[in-house]
Amino acid sequence: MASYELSSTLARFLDKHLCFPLLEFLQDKGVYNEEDIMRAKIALLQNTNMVDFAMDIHKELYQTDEVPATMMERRTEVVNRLRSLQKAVDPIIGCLSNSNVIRNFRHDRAFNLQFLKEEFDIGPEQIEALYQFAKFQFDCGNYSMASELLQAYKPLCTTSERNMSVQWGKLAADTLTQNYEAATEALLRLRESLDNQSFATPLMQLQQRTWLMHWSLHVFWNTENGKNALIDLFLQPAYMSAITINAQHLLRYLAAAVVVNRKRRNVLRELIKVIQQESYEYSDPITQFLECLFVHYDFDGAQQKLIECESVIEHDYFLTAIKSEFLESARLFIFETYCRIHQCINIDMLSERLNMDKEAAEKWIANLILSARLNAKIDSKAGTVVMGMQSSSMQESLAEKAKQLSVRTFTLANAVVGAPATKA
Amino acid sequence: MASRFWTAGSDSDEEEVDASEEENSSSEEESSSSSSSSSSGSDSSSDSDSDSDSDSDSDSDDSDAPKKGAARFLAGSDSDSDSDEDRRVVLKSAKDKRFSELTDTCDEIRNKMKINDWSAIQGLFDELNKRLERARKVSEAVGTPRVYVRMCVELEDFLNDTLANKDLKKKMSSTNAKALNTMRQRLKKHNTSDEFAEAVTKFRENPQEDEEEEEEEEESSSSSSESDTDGEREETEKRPAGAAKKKDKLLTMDSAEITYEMVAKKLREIVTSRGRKGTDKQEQLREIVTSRGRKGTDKQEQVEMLQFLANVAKGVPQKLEVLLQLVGSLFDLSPGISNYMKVGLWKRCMLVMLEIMDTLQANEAIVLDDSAEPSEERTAEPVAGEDGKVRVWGNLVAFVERLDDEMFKSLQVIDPHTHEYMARLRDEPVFLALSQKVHDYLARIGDVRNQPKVALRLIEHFYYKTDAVYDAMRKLTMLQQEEAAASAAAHPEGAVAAASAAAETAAAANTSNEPGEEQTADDKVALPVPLDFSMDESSTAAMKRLVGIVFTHGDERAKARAMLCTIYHKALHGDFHSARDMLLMSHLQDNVMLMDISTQILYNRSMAQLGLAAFRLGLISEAHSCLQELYGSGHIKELLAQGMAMGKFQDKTPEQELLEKRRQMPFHMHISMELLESSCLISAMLLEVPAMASSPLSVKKRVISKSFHRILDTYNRQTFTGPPETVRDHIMAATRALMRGDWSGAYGAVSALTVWQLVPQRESVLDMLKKQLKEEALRTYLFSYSAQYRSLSLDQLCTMFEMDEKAVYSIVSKMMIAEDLHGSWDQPTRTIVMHSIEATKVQSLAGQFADKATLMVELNERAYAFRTGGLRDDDDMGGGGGGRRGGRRGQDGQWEDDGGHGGRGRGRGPRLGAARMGLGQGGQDFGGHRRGGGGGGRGDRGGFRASGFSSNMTSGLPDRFQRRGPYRQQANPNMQALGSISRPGGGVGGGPGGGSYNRPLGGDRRDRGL
Repeated sequence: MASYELSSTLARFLDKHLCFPLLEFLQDKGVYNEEDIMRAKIALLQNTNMVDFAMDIHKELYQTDEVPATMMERRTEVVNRLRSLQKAVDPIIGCLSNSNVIRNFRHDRAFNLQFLKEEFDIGPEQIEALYQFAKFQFDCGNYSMASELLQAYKPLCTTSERNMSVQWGKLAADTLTQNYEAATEALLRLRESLDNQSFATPLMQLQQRTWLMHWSLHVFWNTENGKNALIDLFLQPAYMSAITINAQHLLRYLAAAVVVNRKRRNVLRELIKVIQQESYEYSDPITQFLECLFVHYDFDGAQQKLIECESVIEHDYFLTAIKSEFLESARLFIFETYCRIHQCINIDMLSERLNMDKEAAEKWIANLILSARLNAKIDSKAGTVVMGMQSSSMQESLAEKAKQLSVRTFTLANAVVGAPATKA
Repeated sequence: MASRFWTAGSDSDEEEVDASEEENSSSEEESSSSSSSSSSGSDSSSDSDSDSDSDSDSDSDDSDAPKKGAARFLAGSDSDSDSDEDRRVVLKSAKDKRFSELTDTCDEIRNKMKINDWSAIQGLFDELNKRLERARKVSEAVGTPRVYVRMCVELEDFLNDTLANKDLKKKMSSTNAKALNTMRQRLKKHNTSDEFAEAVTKFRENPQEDEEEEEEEEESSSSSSESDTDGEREETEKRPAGAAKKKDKLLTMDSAEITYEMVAKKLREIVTSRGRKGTDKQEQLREIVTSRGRKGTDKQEQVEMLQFLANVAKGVPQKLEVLLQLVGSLFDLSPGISNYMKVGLWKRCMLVMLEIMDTLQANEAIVLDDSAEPSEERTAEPVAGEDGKVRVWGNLVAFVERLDDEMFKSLQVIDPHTHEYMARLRDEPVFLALSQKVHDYLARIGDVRNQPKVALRLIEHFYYKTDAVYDAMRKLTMLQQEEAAASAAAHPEGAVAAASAAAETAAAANTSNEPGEEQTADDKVALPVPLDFSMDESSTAAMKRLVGIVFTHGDERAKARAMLCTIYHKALHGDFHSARDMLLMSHLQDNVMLMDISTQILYNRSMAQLGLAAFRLGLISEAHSCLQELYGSGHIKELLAQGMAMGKFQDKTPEQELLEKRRQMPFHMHISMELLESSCLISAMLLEVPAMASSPLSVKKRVISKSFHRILDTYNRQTFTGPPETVRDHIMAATRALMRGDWSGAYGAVSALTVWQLVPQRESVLDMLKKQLKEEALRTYLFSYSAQYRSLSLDQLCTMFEMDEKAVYSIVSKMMIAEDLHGSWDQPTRTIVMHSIEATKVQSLAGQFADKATLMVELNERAYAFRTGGLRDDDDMGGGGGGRRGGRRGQDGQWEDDGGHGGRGRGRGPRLGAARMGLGQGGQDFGGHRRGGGGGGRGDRGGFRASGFSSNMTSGLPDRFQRRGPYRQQANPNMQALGSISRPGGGVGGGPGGGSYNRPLGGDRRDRGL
């Protein structure tokens, strides 16, 4: 299954800290050699300030109490830096913790700076230190603190580039503290600023959009309405082009989100088209499943792919939570599509298709019929399901057209003359 | 050094005289400054010359300048000695003048002789005699100038010839004939008079030796004067008589010529006793350099001189300088841009170039640089700069480019079906080797400005080569190298000596200037491939390496060309997807119209190759969109520069025709026209036949390929249809069969085409075609005949179309889902059950009425939306969704322009909901909606697009590109393809409405296209 394992690809687009949960997950699943993962973790932590953590892992990995000197050095270095930064930011933190000060802040950044300067003698150095401190805290794994600091820093930052960094930092920090509500908000803001920034070169924009999509996976797959938001975001033209250019593997998540999300069937066609286009660049069981089902109408193939999907999803950090949901929806997908082009289906065959025994399949279908999601009847003697003919007669379609016409005309007339309601 | 110069016979030179005479006139106008710099150290003389010139200008022929100097022409032994200072002796202009007058007159007489104008000859002869008298007065010494004697002899000969030629005589006008007779008498008398008789007989006896003697004399006595030699005189002193003004510069020239000739002699001595006269060489070289550009000099002679100098040059830098000049002079020998350089000459150039490269390789301290000071200003040996490098002036890249151009030209002209062509193609490895060497050299000295140029040249030699051809080329290279090695072993002098020997042979052969001998010259010049040259294992690797260089350092045009070459190459090797991605990412289709014609041709070629690649892979619709415009234009030959159009509609001016000729691709680079036609038509057939079957009666059927329809119509109108002969016939026969659902008939007709032999992967292509034909036949069959069935068994379909169950099932299901086929599967019995609905008359009329009413409402809505911006309600979900998609699509034109803002603007759409689409967007939105959802996803990619490539370009070969294009095509082929892949014409101005039918060839043809 490792061939469909995306962690290494994803890691390229994720923050160091955001990679960490993935590694933990992989360690749990045991897809890779545990030692390898631990080593990867150390490598990851090497560049952060979480030296103690790295030491722990090191001890665990090599079963020793010894730690390499480099780590110790790094530790002292980090501590020293912490001290100096702490010292630098103390005044500004003290000042900002005063709620009165915050209240005096306005939207005008220049004004804020002026205000601080005049009132508390806090200059650009301190403000800069604040930012550095936040970054430092973040690197230390102290995400909630980092988030707060960034929040405080935000009204004071002057350049738009710095502003972007702050937003990225905020998003990462909120994500890592699992404060998904805040993260969603940060994501939204970041996205807006990404779309609005005019200074970035196209290449940069592309890069940042790709990052955003990757980071957002953490948020979207963990929030209530995340799948919807994910579909919305990924199908944005600019983001879609980023996917096709830079990160075709994201199609997996988009596909999974669409399959799971019944309300968003309407985007299916669009998705299928993209999947087909990119099939020579990227394909995995999930996209193949959709391809089989909606391009080739190869139900056996789809069935096969679904089985593969199961293990892929199981080993995917983001998708593992929706595994059963996905399988259920996928099955329904198969069945629905199957029914659309058949007028008579053998229940035996169907149960086989659905991976259920005959009894259960019959029950499942009966349920569907009951809940009026399927226009069909079971012929239990012949052991078949007979679809109700949805063939609309000419008459019906004419009536339909006429109805639609009248509605539209009415709206138009209202619009032109003015609706009675508005008159009144 | 068997220079022609020394042995110059009187006859062979005449042609040259003729030619150089015209040039002469313009050369004289050059500034005197250049002439003074050209005179070899004899500054004083040249100065005084120009002074006297200003005098003589006014009084022209009859000047009373001092006369004693002329003696030097005759005997010349009195004052001069061997030394350098001699050349500084101030020449008395008067005697020179007399002398040159004589020569001029002689030349004029020769001219007149050529046109048989005896009356003029008579007059000139009189003048000649008069001048002779005057010259004698000036020159004190007694004796007849050789020029004069020679003239007399020539005249006599010519006279006799003319008299012998009865025909000619008859044709002469009466005055002419009279003059002829007078001349005969006079000449007879003249030549037999004792004054001249002796000289004449002496001359007749032994003209050659005579000259030799004089040369000898000249050598010992030196001085400028002895330029008496006929050949030289002709070469250096021809100019129309009476153009007195020019005289002086000629004199300077004259002395210049003489000087280097003299020095050459000295150099010859130097060969034996090395170590003398380094400065002389320097001076000489300078002289040649300066005189190169001038027309008055004899190029041939210069080449020889340089060749000689190269052998004796002192010090490597100087040798290099000489060699570089030699290459330049060799180029000068070829007759201008319209003709190609003679092959022998070309090879000679190559040899010299290789020598240069060898030298450079051996001496790493020397840097060739076209920004280094030209050697003119230097007198001493070039000294090493601070970095220990010796800078020598020279531009290797220009030479390489020129050589490449010349080779290209020769291949254009040579008949491709001859051995000559093959022989010429065999020269390619050597050129590649040279370019590679130059390229490596440039890389070594870090010349990133020129390196891409050479790389591009190399790319353009590689890109059109299939693996087979490339391997053959490699083998040929190795073979040639082996041969070269063998011959080098045979000749102990080593390869270089062999090379120079070969060069001399070539030179000798070349000087004869006779086309007949050209062939032998070619044979004689063996061009050994340098042993240290090796071609990359695969052309792909070579391409990748070179393209990388161009992308990093090249200018825009080089990048574009390299990109196109890569696309071509990738397509040729079946890598359609990445080739297409490159094309789309680079946005070449948008701005190809702004590029030069040769790049446009390259673009068309890439497009054609891309189409073929798609076809081979079975990507029919892609293939069709690539090829259709090329083929449909009806000018495919012109577009690919593979032949001239037989102009039916336009009359090209000769210049245009010439230009077009110059653009033509050599035969070995051609893309098979027939293959293109077959691929295009077959793709059109596969797309068009099911489409026609699905809506046989619909008036508004969308036309996929107009040209296909046209051909089909013609074919259908034929009263009698014979067995297929042409490509079209075959495909039309296949179309007929396919329309009946008879796939095997169609396959038979298609596979009978002979072009498939040209496709390397013949089997797989035919298999692909069979599969495609089966599928389309099945679709067509179902479209056409489903109404006649109540149910159809899956097994029956499988046997009918020899397809497996799964494929049939898949195709039929697809048709059901798309509602192309009204029916559904009955799973237990494995049949398709048709639900055909037949409408009654009233119903269908009502339906039409409803449609029209809908249309009206839509129009109203649109009108309203146009004013207020948007009407549809949010609750109209489907419409909203469609509208959103369509809206995006509708805006495509806009996105093209403001890619930067694209993301933002578009991002607003879905969140606000369709109902609140901005004003102005309403209309478009609506339009998009009506076009029916579909390709939203496609056009969206544009958001990034306008900004896309430039940044990518700079970062070497980007792995992934921005793309648009073909997807939209698939989604909705009848949309105007916004700069999509379907526009080989290049989509400038390709906004949605800009239906301008751009043809890839710009200039003269562009306006026709519009």
